[in-house]
Amino acid sequence: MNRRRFLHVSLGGLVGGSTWFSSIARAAAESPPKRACILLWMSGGPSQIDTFDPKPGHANGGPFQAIETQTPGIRLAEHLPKLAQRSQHLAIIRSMTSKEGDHIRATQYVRTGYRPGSPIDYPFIGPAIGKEQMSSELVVPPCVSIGGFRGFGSSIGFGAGYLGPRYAPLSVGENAVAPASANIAAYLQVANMRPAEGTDEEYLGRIARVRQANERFAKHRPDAVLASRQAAYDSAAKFISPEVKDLFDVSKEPAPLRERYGNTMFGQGCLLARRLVEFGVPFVEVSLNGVANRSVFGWDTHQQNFPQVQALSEVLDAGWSTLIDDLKDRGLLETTTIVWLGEFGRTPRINGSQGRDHFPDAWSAVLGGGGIVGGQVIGSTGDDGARIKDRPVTIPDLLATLVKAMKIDPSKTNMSNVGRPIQIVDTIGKPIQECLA
Amino acid sequence: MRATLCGMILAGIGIGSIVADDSPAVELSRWIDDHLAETWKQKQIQPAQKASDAEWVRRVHLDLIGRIPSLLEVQEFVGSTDPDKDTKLVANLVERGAFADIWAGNILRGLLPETETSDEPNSYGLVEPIKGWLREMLVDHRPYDQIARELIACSFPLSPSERSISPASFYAIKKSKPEELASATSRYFLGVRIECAQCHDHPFAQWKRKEFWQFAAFYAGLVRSNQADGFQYPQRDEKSVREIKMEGTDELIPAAFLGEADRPIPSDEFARNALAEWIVDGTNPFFAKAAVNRVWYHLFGIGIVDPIDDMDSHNPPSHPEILDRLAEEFRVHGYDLRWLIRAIAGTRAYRLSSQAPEGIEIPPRSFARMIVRTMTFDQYSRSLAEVSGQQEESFAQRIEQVGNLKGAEPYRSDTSISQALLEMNGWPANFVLRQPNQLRLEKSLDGKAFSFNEAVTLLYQATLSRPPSEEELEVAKLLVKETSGIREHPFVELVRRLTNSRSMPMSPQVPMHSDKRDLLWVLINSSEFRMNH
Repeated sequence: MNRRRFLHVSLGGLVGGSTWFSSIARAAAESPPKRACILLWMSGGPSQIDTFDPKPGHANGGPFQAIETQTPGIRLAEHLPKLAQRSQHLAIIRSMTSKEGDHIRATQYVRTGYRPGSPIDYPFIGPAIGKEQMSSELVVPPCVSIGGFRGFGSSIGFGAGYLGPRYAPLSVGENAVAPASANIAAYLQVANMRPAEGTDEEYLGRIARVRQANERFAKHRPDAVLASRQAAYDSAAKFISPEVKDLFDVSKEPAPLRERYGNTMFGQGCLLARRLVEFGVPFVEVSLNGVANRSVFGWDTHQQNFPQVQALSEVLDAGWSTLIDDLKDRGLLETTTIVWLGEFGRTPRINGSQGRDHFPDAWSAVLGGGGIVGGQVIGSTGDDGARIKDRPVTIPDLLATLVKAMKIDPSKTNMSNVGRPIQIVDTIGKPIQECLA
Repeated sequence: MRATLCGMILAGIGIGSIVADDSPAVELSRWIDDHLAETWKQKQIQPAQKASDAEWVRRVHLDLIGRIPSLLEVQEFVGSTDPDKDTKLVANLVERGAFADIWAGNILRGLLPETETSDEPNSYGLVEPIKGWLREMLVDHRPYDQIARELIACSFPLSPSERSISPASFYAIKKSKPEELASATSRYFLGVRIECAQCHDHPFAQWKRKEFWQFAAFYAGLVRSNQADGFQYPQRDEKSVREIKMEGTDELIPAAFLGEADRPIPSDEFARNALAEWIVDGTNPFFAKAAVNRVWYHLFGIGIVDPIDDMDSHNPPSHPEILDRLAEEFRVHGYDLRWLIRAIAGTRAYRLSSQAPEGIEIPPRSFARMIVRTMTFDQYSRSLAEVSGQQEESFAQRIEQVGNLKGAEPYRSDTSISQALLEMNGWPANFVLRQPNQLRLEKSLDGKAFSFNEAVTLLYQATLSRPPSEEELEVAKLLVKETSGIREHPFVELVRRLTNSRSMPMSPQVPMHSDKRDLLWVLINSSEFRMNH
């Protein structure tokens, strides 16, 4: 190989690269998402009584008032005023019930739909849904997790499990704790998105050379692992393209809209979620871990529940309500299902530290948007909130409803790591028919 | 004390002296080869070429000691003219401490796949006791049936100090629950998935629901400390309890051996002792087959029965005669794992290239070509450590960042985008590239002067275990010419230039070409490095 040819190879990589880039934008424009889901994940287990199932007048109700909503007869706790104005887009389930009261176990259960403690490596429902709805041209993984907290306990419930790395969630702003008044856009970063140093040309040059070496190596080696690795590399290489770089940059959005979402990891995360859904990502998760410097389990309010829930509710109210409006303005609300969910609820009884403890018996979750009939409440708890009065809904029921709302068959199976086909949602899960549009 | 002793013994052993009982292993290798050759002939399969020394030396290091060979190990092997060098290398590798580490990991991953996919058992301190125990059993050359027996018949109660290196944490990870212990035991040691029948009979599967609960009943005497669902050691074992209530029914099912329900269980011993003895008994139809199939899988990336833990009538072996013969020989040779590995690694099939002949398609289960496998996380981090001269632990500590590098079925694992980004821009690449002063190859060759071609060859050998092709040399030449213009150079300096160490700034007159630092990055990021082939 002479020098000219060598340069040609390098440039070939570059030119090829720019073709990839323009094809990304085209793919996004030509094949709009079939359906998408945005999961608003409330890490720590939110208090249902102080949000979606208020008990005014009862000792368990605490200091918060209940406020009227757009929907006659439905009332929310007072720190969700913007959501109250958008209740027609919410199906509030007040009768969630589970048996898992430990953070890690409950998190696994809620996020996979299967009870923990099995050698089966169950996937997070995000990749499972993403796998069904992704377009083959999608450069970004079919599931993106924004502002998630990882780093202790089990990884089950966060990864792609037996679906394999191809469907593994892409993390944005993982473990990031942004101080108040920070430039949040800078915290919403994809890990290892670009090389630490050097120019794009150098980087693309190296990638082209790896590709060349891999092609040579894969010749006469018809193994699937090689093709998979090359495909992942090709996608990863596109992350330095202006399109993908911009995709993750929420500062490209107009300032007033950004303000409406709220200058918080969660608020800007919701905005990023909208950008990703628009781009064709079928499943996006946005974590609300806490306000100001709290990185995880912010809803775990064993002490001083009320000021914390108030602060969290304000962040939640701004981000979520703006997300509804924004999706609606862009004609995406009808194809985008929104889920509000934590690992469990909190005790109706207020403990001695003005806190509420873990409570898996009777708690709330909310569905809305695509495929969901809003403006209704499913199930109820008694006056003290301690027991479900009617229509208990289990985790598999909720996930079956979500999957159905996205027009996916919950009984579809994937081959598991133990060689047994496993349904997307456990057979015991029955969709809440009255929720489904 | 024990570790020191072993170290001393190992240090005193040279190549060759430990291969006392080698001829039967060679005999078995040849028999397997003849048998495979016959099947290839019947099915008109043209096998791949024999692998080059470089390809094979890399593979055998990865499989037996979990990392690529060092530069010197490559050179020593490739340069040797000893006709028995393959056999001697295998015999040497299986005696290394790293062999015990890696194979303890292989056993653990099979027995407790959840320890790979979840950090939870480790966070409760439950992984190290059993892993340490397995490592010790392997270091001490304990036969495989003894490993099985001690694990299955492990007696309780155990004091906390007795738990520190012990198979008992297997019970704790399985929450001391009979049904979970039964599933794991049958899956690992018998290669059967009876737990599929836990809830109901399956029309086509061999095992019925009742048989699952009969198996689980062997563990029914274990007393759990409380009813909570978490990890817990058994408090004690009740000798008299050997029946269990079938889930969701009131039916009490007594313990019975799988497929041999009439065989009596002595009443004067613990049921698990009887189970252990039945499992390792020479007449057990599953035990030895399951074991040899697992070893075969670790060396070929695919089992003779595959999936390896599904030895059911609906999932027949690709080569039943080989499976039977291996199982029989394994038993006759006292369940000696090293002997079995020597026999399988000594086959010509294991010596075949992963490259198919031009225009020829080779069915993967024919073993007429080595399939390409993704390195396990362990192999990958140990190999990076080898190239960079860093401690392997410094890579392993970053485990939390690479959840999806791990998995219960690592060899066939595909690659995620996050993982590709991590490998390209994260710690694996940076760790190697940023600290070229500590490159191990540099350490071993410091002070010598090398020609350009020699230096590039060394880089290739240190990473891909092979020399560069003519074309690759030409490409490398262009890079370095442009950056330094120096053809004769001490190797250390050249490596620094190739890897663009920050501590070695280029003179401003020398134009910086994009590829000047890229050769090592490209080598580390290539599939050829990342895969075991």
